[in-house]
Order: sequence, then C-alpha cells, then structure tokens
Amino acid sequence: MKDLLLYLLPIVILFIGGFTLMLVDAFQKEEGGLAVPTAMLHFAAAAAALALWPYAGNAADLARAQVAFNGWLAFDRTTLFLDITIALGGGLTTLLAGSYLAEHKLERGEFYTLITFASAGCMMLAGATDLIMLFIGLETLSLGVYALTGFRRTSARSQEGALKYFLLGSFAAALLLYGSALLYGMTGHTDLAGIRDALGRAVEMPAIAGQEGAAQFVAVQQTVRDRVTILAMVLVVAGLAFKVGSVPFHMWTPDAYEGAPTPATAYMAVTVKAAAFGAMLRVLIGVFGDTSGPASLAGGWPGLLVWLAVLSMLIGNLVALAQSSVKRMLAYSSIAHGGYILAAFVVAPRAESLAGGGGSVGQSAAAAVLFYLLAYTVSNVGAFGALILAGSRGKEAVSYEDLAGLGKRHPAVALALSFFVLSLAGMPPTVGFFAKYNVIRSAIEAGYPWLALAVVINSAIGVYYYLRVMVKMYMHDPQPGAVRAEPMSSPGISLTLIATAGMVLALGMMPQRFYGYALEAVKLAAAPIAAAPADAPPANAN
Amino acid sequence: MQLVPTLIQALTAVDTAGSLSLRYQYGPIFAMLGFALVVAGAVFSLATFLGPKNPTPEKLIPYESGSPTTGAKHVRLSVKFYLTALLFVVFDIEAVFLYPWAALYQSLGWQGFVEMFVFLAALSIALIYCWKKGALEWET
Amino acid sequence: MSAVISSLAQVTPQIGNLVSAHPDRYFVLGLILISPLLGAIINGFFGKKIGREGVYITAVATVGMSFLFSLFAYFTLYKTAHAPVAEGAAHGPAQLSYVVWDWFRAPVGAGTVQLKLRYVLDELSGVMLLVVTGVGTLIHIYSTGYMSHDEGYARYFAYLNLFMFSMLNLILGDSMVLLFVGWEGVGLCSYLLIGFWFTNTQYATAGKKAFIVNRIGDVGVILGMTILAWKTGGFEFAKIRDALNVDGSNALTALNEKPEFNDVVAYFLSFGRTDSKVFEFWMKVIPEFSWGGAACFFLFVGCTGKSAQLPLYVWLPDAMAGPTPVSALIHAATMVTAGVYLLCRLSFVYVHFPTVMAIIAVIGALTALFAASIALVQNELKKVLAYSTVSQLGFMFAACGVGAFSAGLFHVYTHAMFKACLFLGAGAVMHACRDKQDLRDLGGLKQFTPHTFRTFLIATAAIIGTPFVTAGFYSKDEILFRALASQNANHAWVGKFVFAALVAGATMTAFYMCRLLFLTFWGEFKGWSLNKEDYPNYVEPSHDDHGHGHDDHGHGHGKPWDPPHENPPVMYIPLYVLAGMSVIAGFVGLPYLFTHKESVWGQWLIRSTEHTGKPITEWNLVMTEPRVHSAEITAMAAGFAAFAIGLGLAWWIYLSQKGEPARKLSSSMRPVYQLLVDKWRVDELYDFIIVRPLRFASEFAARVIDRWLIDGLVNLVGIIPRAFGALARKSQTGVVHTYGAVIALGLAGMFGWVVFLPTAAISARADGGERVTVEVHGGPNYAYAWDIDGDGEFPAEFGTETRQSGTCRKLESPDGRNVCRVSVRVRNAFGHISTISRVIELPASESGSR
Repeated sequence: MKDLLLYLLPIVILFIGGFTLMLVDAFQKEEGGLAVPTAMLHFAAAAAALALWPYAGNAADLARAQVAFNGWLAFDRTTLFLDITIALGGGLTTLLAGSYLAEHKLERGEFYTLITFASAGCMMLAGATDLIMLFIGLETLSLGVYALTGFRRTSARSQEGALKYFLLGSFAAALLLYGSALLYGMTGHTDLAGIRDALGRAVEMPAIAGQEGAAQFVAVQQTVRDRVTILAMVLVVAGLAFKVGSVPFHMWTPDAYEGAPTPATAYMAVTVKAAAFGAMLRVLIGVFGDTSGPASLAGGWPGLLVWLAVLSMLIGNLVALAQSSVKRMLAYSSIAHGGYILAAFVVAPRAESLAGGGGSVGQSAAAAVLFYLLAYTVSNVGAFGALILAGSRGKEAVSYEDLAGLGKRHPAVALALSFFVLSLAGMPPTVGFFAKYNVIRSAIEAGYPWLALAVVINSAIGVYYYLRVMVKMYMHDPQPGAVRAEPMSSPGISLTLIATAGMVLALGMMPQRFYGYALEAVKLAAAPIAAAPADAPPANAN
Repeated sequence: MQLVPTLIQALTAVDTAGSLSLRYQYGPIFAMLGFALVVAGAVFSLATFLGPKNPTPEKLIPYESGSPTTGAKHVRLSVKFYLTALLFVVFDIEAVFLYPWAALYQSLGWQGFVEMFVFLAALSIALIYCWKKGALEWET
Repeated sequence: MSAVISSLAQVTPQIGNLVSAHPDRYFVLGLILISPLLGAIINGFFGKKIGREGVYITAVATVGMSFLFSLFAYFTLYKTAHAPVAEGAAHGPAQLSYVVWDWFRAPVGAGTVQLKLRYVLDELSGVMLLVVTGVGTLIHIYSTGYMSHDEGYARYFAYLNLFMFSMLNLILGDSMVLLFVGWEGVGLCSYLLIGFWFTNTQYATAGKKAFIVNRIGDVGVILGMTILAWKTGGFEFAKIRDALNVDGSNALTALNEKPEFNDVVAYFLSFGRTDSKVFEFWMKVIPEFSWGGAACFFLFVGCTGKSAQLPLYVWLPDAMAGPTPVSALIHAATMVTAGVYLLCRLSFVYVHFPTVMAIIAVIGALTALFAASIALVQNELKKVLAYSTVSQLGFMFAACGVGAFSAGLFHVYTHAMFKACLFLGAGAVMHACRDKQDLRDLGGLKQFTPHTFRTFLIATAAIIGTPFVTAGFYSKDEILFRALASQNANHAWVGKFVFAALVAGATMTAFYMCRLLFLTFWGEFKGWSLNKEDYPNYVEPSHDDHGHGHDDHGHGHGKPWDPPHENPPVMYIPLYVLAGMSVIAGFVGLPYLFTHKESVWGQWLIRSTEHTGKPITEWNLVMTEPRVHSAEITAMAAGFAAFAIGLGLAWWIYLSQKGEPARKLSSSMRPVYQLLVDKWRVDELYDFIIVRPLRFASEFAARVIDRWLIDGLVNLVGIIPRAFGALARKSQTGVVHTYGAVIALGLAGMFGWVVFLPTAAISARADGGERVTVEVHGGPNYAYAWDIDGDGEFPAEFGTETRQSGTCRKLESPDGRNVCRVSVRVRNAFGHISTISRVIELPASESGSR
C-alpha cells in the first residue's frame, strides 16, 4: 500500500487534488479562482515524477513497484517522462484556461476538475501495462475530454464537436476493447508481458496428445491463434490511432478542436496525444515489437504504421494548407505532427546497434517519440496560448484575417506567436527543429530513407502555412471595417507564454541533454517491458 | 445465414486439411446455433403461414389504452431524467461492487477495508458534489 | 608575477583554472568574449540613458577589460607552451579552451558531428587576439575624441563593441561554424558602420556595396566549409587537422578525390567546343581540383571578398565613407585580415593543394601591384590609404600563397600597427582641417599638428620598409625572402613571379606613401590660399547637417578657413602607442640572416603554420644554409632598393621640384594617368559586365517571368489548396455516419494490408568477404524461403527460422559499388506470400576485385 502510494505519486496527487477541487467547487460561493491551484497540482505531479526519476533507475525500486502495481502499471522512466510531459501540458493549459474562461464568461469550476481527472487518466494510460488498465485510463481521460469539448454549453458548435467526438470515441474504444478481448481469448492474459510471452510459446494441447490427428489439430489451433492475434493487434492499433487523431481515424479532430474552448483544444492536442502515444509505445513495442521472439512485429505493424504516418502527414498538412481558420489549421497540423511521431514508431523495433547514440536504433527512435512529445507539448501550448492572448471576448483571433496587422497592433503577442509557430514549423534553434531532426535521423538510420524524405517534404509543406501566420501578422493590414482580434491583457497567459518560450528555447539550446533524458527513459523502460515472466511471476495468472 | 461459418472457415483454412478442427471443437456450438436458428425460424414461419390474417384499420393502429393517439412519435424528455438515471447507474454499480466485497470481507482484511472505503469516499464526494450543484433537485 | 599567480592558484580552484589551463574550462576566454558583448548591449539599449560619458566609459572599459584578459590569457598560454617537460619529450600543443555549451551531437556517416560552442586559444589565435583587442582598445579610446561631436555616439560604440565581439568569435571559435558566425557578424557590423551616416545616400550606397560584394564571398565560404566538413567529417579545425595528419588518412584520400564532373565543367566553360584550345586548357586545369582543392578555392573566394582581393576588392575603397576610426579598426587592422587568418587557420589543408596555393599567391601579388598603381595618383587621403590597405593585404595573401603563412601573419600584425596609426593620423588630419582630405588642399601641416606629424612620419617609415629600424621592413623582407625561396610543387614559376611583383609593389608603396606624407605635411598649407570658388568639391559646412561627419565640431568661431589645430590627447596618445609599436613590433621577427636561428615569431607559430614535408613547403628541406643566405640577401637588397627608389623619386618630385614632374608626366601620358585616376575603370567594367546584364535580367524577370510565370505559379499554388479545401470539405461532411464509415473503411484497409500483403522487417549484415547474415522479422506463424546468393531462385520449402547466413554473389553495379542482393519470400499467417529484398554493401577491401 505504501509502495503503491509512493510509486503512483503523480497520479495520486492528481486524484486527491481532483476530489479536493470538486469539494471546493461545490462549496465555494463564487465561481473561479481554481486555475492556479489546478495548475499547481499539475506542477506538483510533475515535480513528483521528477523526484521519482532516480528511483526508477534503481532495480530494487523497480521490483518493489512491480509487486505493488501487480502488473497493472509500469513504474519506469518512460512512464515518468510521459507523466512529466502530461503534467506540464495539463498545468500550462490550465493556466491558459484561467484567463480564457474568465475573459469569455465561461468560468465554471468543473473545467478544472475535469482536466485534473483527465490528466490522471492520461497518466494511467501512459503507464498501463495491462489491457484493462489501459482501457480504464483511456476511458477516464476520454470522458473528461468529451465534457471539456462540450464545455461551451451555449455554442452549437461546441456541442456538435463533443457529440461527434463522443460517438466516434465510443466506436474507437469498442474497437480497442474488442481487440483486447480477442487478445485475452487467444492468450489467457490481459497483462502485456503475459500476452507477449504467451504469443511466444506454441499452443499446448496436452489432453489429446497421442490421439489421431492431434498434431494437425494443434497446427490448426496455432494458425487460428496467430491469425486472430494479428487481427486483434490491428484493432488495438486502430483504437489508439483514433486517440492520436491519425488518418483515417482523424475525422473527429477538426470538429472537436474547433468546437472546444481553446485551452481544451490545446489540452487535447498535446496531453491526450502524449498519453495515447505512450500507450502505443508500450503495446506495439512492448508486446509486438520484441524482435527476439516469434511474436515480433505481429503481421508487420510497422508496415501499417508507415501508411498511417504518411497519410497523416500528407492529409494533415494539405488540408491545413486550405484552412482559413488558424485554430482549425492547428488542428489539422496536429494530425500531421501525429504523422511525424508515427514515422518514428515505424523504425522503433530495430535492435541493431546505433553509431554514436549509445543505444539501439529502436531505442533512439523511441526516444525520438518521447522527445517529440515533449517538444510538441511546449510549442503547441505556446502557440495556442498566443492565439488566446491575441483575442478578447467577442474579438477572438480565429482566422488568418483576424491576425492581419497584429504585428503592429500588439508586437509582443505577434512575436510570441511567431516564435511558437517557428518551433512548430521546425526552425532551428527552436526545439521543433530537433524534434523533427531526431525523427528523420532515426528513419534514415533504420533504412527508411524515403520515410525520412516524406517527413522532410511534409515539413516543407508545413512551413508554408506556418509562415502564412507570420506573413499575415507582419505584412498585411486588416481589411477596413473587418472585425479584428483585439489582444486581451492577461498576466497569467503572458507568464505561461514566457515560460513555454523559455522551455522551447532551452530545449532547443540543449537538445542533447533532453534527448539524453528521453533515451535514458527508453533504455530503462526496456527492463520491465523485456522482463521475462521466468523471473517475475505472471501478474494475474488466472 | 452462411456468413458466420464462412468467416470462420476463412479464418481457419490452412494448407493442411483444417476441417477437422471445426468438427472437433466448434461443432457443438455450430449445432446449437443451427438448432436455435431452425427453431426460431420455424416458430415465426409457422405463425405467419398458419395463423389467420384478417386486418382491419382498427387492428392496425397503435394500442394506447383504448384512447386515440396524439402527438409526434419522438417525445423530448427532460434532461433531469437522464441525470437521475446516471446517478442511479453509479450507485447501482456501487451496490454491485459491494456484494462480492462483503462476501470476501474476511479474506481481504484491512487492506480490502481501506480500499473499499477509498472507493466509497470517492463516490460520496461525487454525491456531495451533485447535491451541492443541484443535480438532485427536480424543481429548479 | 608567476609567484603571485601560483599563490593565487592555491586560493581557489576557480582561479586555479585560470592558470592551470584545465581543458575546456578556461573561462577567461569567456570573459574576453562576453565583455564587448556586454558593452554592445549596454550601449545599444541604454546608450541614451547613461549619457555620453557613460557610453564612453562602458565602451572603452569593456574592450579594455577584454584586452587585459587577453593579455592574461596570452601569458598563461605562453607559460603552458614553455612549461618544463620531461627530458626528450616533445612539447604538446599549447592550447587553452573553454566550452560554453554543448549544443548537439549528431551521428553522420561513420563519425559524429558535434556542435559545441567552444573557444580555443592557441598560438595563432593568441597573436590575433592581442592584435585585435590591443588595436581595438586604442581605437576605442581614440574614438571618444573623434566622435565627441557626433550625435550617434551610442549607436556608434554599440556597433563597435558588437564588432569586437564578432571578431573575437571569428578568432577564438574552434570550428568553421563559429568562425562563420563571426565572419558574418563582422560583415554586418562593417556594413552598419560604413553606412553609419546613413542620411547621406552615397555613404549608405557604399555600405550596400560592401554588403553585396561580401555576400558573393560568403557563398564561397559556405561551399568551402560544406565540402571540407563533408570530406573530413567535422567542422572543428583540430578535428580536421588530426584527420589530415595521419599518413594516408581517409580524410586526405577523401579530399584528394576528384569530382566526377570535371569534363562536364570543362565542356561548359569552353562553351561546348570540345575541339578548342580552351577546352584543352580547362581539361588541364580543372582536374587539378579535387574536392579538397575546390574547398580551398571556394574558401579563398570568401577571403577575396572579406579581405578585398582581386576581383572583389571594390568595396573597400568605398568603405572609407564610414568614420575614420572604423576604417582604421575594421577596414585596415582587423576585419580585412580575417581572410589571412582563415588561410593560416586552415594552412594544414591548403599545403596539400599547390595549385590553389599558386592561385592565392598570384592573386595576392597582382592585387598588391594593382592597388598600389591606383594609389599612386589618388588625391584623397583616405582613398590612398584604402588602396594601400588593399595592396598590403595582397602582400599577405602572396605570402600565404607561397607557403609562408607565418610571414603573412607577421605582416598582418605589423600592418595592423602602422596602418591603424596612418588611418588614425589621417583622421586626426581631417579632424584638424574640418574634414578636408584632398591632398591638393593640404600641406605644411607639420607645424600645426606636430604630434600627428611625428606619428604619421614613423608609420610611413614603417610601411615603406625603412631598413633595420621599422617593423614594416622586417615583415616585408620576410615575405619577399620566402617568396623567392619557395618552390610550388606544381607551378615552379610562382615564387619568382610573386617576388618580382611584390618588389614592384613595394617600390610603388614607398613612392605613394612618401607622396602622401610630403603633400600633407610639407610645403604650405593651401587652405588659406584657396577660395571657395576654386575648390568646387568643398562642401560648405552647415550647422543643421549634423549627420555629416565632422563638419561641425563647434569651436564657436566657425569660419571655414580656421588654421588647423592639434587634437586632444585622447587622440594623439593612441597614435604614439601605435607609432611606437610600428617600430618595435618588428623585432620579434628578426631574419635568419641576422640571428642564425628561427625568429621568435616563427618559432611561436611553427606548429600552426609550418607543415614540413608537404609539397608546398619543401623549400624548408631543400634549402641549405648558403642558399638561404643568398636568397635572404637578394630579398633584403630588393627591399632596400624598393624603399630607396620610391622614397628618392617622391623626394625629388614632390619636395625638390614641388610636384612639377608629376604634372608634366600626367599631361604627357594623359590616358594612362586618367586610367589610374579612374582606378583602372574596374567599377565601370563591373557595371558593364555584371550590373547592367543583371539589371536587364531583373527587368526581364519582372516584366516577363514575374508576370507570366510566377503569377501563374502563384495562382496555381492558390488553386491547389483551394482544390484540397474543396476535397476536404467534401470528405469532412460533418456527418457522423461518414466519419464512422471512414473509420470502418480504414480498419478494413488495415485488415486487408495485414492479411494480403505480407511484410517483414529485413536487416542484413556483411560478415566479410561475400558472407552475409540476414535477419527478418515478420510475425507469429510467418514462414520464410531464403535466396541469400542472389540467383533469384527460392527453395520450395518455407521455414520458420528468422536468421540465415550464406554467401552472396556480388552484383554488377554500374557505379562500381561492391554490393549484392538478398531476397526472402515471406509467407504470412494467412498463407499469402510476397518477396522482399535488400541490397547489401560488401566490404571493399576483402573482395579483391577492385
């Protein structure tokens, strides 16, 4: 129990904090004022994860955590890295929300409760090593995010986005659940390690051994099991791909992103994505990516992800090109960014050793995923934050036209937005450059030069629409008489922007160090994921 | 009708003679399935073919306690019903969860006790929240 | 001193770092760099707030601090270099370094490319550091007097400090990347300072010209840097050097590789006429350019831009539009020598490419001659000095080109002293005479401005190479001697040619400098005898035109023809320091003839600049003592003759005959004279062959290409997103059913993919010879049939083994690569089969077929 609380500290903090927030919200006389405590809660969770970082390097602690979690959750540096990313994304978006909701007269306490529980769900999803836990985490975060999407109750758009997200999300969750059920049916395990090991073993059928046709029977059983497993894997991939908004499961994103209040959009774009990619990392690489076993690459999921990655990049970028709303452009570009991350996934199962990086090709690719998530979190929160700051009630900055001439009206906001947009476009020395660079590098190392080329070409397309934001702000004047965005004044958002800008710059200035942390996280994740059940008892043997 | 067996056939077909497994393991299930389909089909078709058919307008209108039907088919219900239903579901599940806990109370020991109370506390907070927010009040 | 240092060293480990030169932790280098930057920031952002005094103090103090730190660092370096070592052990390289931060590291090919912000002080950068910070400090002090009446003082000092920071980056950076950052930084500051009085269009144009010409050079630098890094696997100088120092190293082989398109280039350069002599010529010349040669050549192109060599020198004379101290600091003493510094820095690369060296030597010598010829007849004080600078830079490049890098750098050092002194003296003259700088108006100034006269006289004595007592004599002599003694491995005539040209150049230098001196300081001051009408170029100083130089330094009694007045001490004290240095600076480089040992200078730089055994410096081996002596005596005699002829001629023409012979000569040889006055009409030539065609092309582009092609393209670009938008709107119907259907379709596609298209990750490894090991990862219940030997035949049986070794037959590859192909047929769990293959690179050495 004590161990459980210790190793789960980030999640525990968020849950207890969430309940406290509920009570405070229920009993306080006036709405509002919860943003800063919620953000602090997230930052406390991040700090807790940071404090646990050394423990995660310690074998004794890892073993104790494994016993305490009973195989449901992983306590390792991958989890902690993702926890930090999630908590950071959640905390920063909460700070944005504080000013945004007040400005737009949406201030209601449940926003903070929802976001806190959703963050806890994200952490559960990111750390899950059991399909049931994975599903619980997914649902916890999803329910919170559905509600956040529909938070503007009076806006039909918001309601529509939320409903669509909910319906399709349920569909996707059903796919995931169906895949999980099939995996359980085929292996008798819900824990990932158990599934992996069961898939590695041949089907046993001792009861009929020696009977006529028994060998044939076993062969058929084997065939059925492997075929069903492969299809189950596809279902699981589809369920998770929905959450990251990858093509062809992306259709909900523009509606939901546009309908949601902007801080919630930022939250969906960064935090939910981080959690879902974390789960993908565990399921695909942990279960199906073990190159040493016969279950490796079950049916070529890398081949599948190549398509998802390329399609996501291409469609995300091309449709983003055509948008006239900046918010919608950011939504589509987040699909494209998902594609870049998926490109790193494709090469992740390589175990060949890598020149100079200190890990295998696969580890460096997985580290590239983690680094990208962190980079995308800070850059994107900043971009959304600047977009929020650029508008005020009734004069929101939504379309490119709203931004025209902002460079003259409010140079500081324009500068901030330009900076984050440059990072998203991948310009050095911002972190966006190194995030993409790592992905491209791992693709080349793993022998997928054309995939690297696809990333490069798509980044170039991306530069076009990102730069358009800057062109609008600095080189165009607003149409006479048009409604134009009036920047609001908000110390909270300004502070958030300064903090994120600092992080974008710091990560860009010391990419090696942070990439090193990511690599360390991945390497130390290898231990629990690869731990054979021979030395650790199967967690929930039925 | 042939869809499910065909699918399963497709799923299990191998180079070697694979029909063995179908007979061997899934045979009873398919037999059961076939039996159920036959019986259900038979009952319905018998009723359709053998039963006397003598429709009149009065017989075809929806039956509503003898009085004529009014209004549209889709009635909008107050959202309050849903709220109440949701709360009911939550506490329903709580009750379902409490039964096995109570049955195993002895063997779970203190840890089980604490865990259940954490669960109950969480639900209580939710209840308090709903209460304070006015979700339990019908007239607002 | 050393006792103090060592006792300090025991006090704290931090101070210990200062003297013990802990690798990469010598943070004094950081202090040297940061203090001018700090000054730039303070002056740039708070200049108006802290006032004139504050700006002066900030600017001078930060640069002065930088100089003091430099001195300290230099002595530490000296101590490290001369630290006692074990008997018989060789001295390691003297080097202090400081890593500010490790930016990032990327595996490229076999190696790792690191991007570190690392600064290194070694013998070479140490010398440059002292020159730059020392001269820089003096000029900052001088500027406080010179700019005392200018409104833009804060901006001026901010730029000047920023320039110092960039220049220090250039010098101390340990990699080509940092050097390039500094290179661009000094270019930017130069541009800003040339156009400092930007309200004057002509000055702004001069700034623009400098900017554009330097961009042409920058393309060369980028190309050269890229090729060098690509072929040697690194940007750091030390790394390239280490890579090259291994005998038969891969890096050297890579540099010596010839590009594959030599004949193509020759074809284009001879306009497609392969039967012509031109083609033959190019075919003879171009193949001499390996990748390394090309890199060196392109870098040299960059140097011709920055250091004002033929044909890119045109910006420097115009750059004199800037304030005179700027001309002294940037356009004479420091920035323009960056090219020489770059050549010295990369001398270990250059010595491998004799043809490029020959080009450098010839270009340098021609520049020296050419610029000196223009300087003969110029009438503006600063113009003469500008062409003189170009000419002297030519001397330095010629020295580098004949392999005498240390001699080139020696000239950089002495030239910095006397040319800075001359420019500052010119500034003092202009300051004294209300911005008049036409030689025809000056004269007789020695009685009005005695300090300026004395220092100017000494500096002139130095530049014309007054034997035995001045620095200029020793550095010029060293260059002449080394040119005469050099033997270029490919082009033996280069040494003699360079020698002859430089002697001629030195003669002209002596003549025009003496002419300048005599016309300025001897004779009568003509300002009084001139009427304003007689002198149409004179611009009436107006008090509302503040931006225009020193027209108004408000003495209260503002008649146009006041007698010239001596300047305040802040201006003439730096002059004395520089004049003193112009004399004593030379004694560190006493010739071998006198001392019979390597000079202090040559000894100090021997590791950085002498690369014996390489083709270009074989003179070092073949020269025996008598031959050294004879060459040295010849060189010294030639230098002496140049000095004597130039001085004597000038004396006779301008002092004895009061300029009469010059007037006669100019009228009798009118065309030649006019050509020289018009600076060989190079600007006009450039206008004709570059500017006008460019203008025509741009007009054409604007009229035709832009209107038709670009507009069309832009419209097309507009159409494509719109088309996608339409498509997107079509697909994004907003109807949930459609969304669900797309998901279902996508899922079906994914199912189809895994069922019908078996894939597997394939990885292969060459085990030596033609042995390879192949590994595939498909999935559960996958089976494989292997074709390792590449004959295209697969066994009928599929097996579940995921790894196979075998012998792989080499492919006939058109580009001569040593490769083979392995293929695997993959049968997936659903019984579908596909084939995947991989081309493997075999190790070259063991195949034995090459």
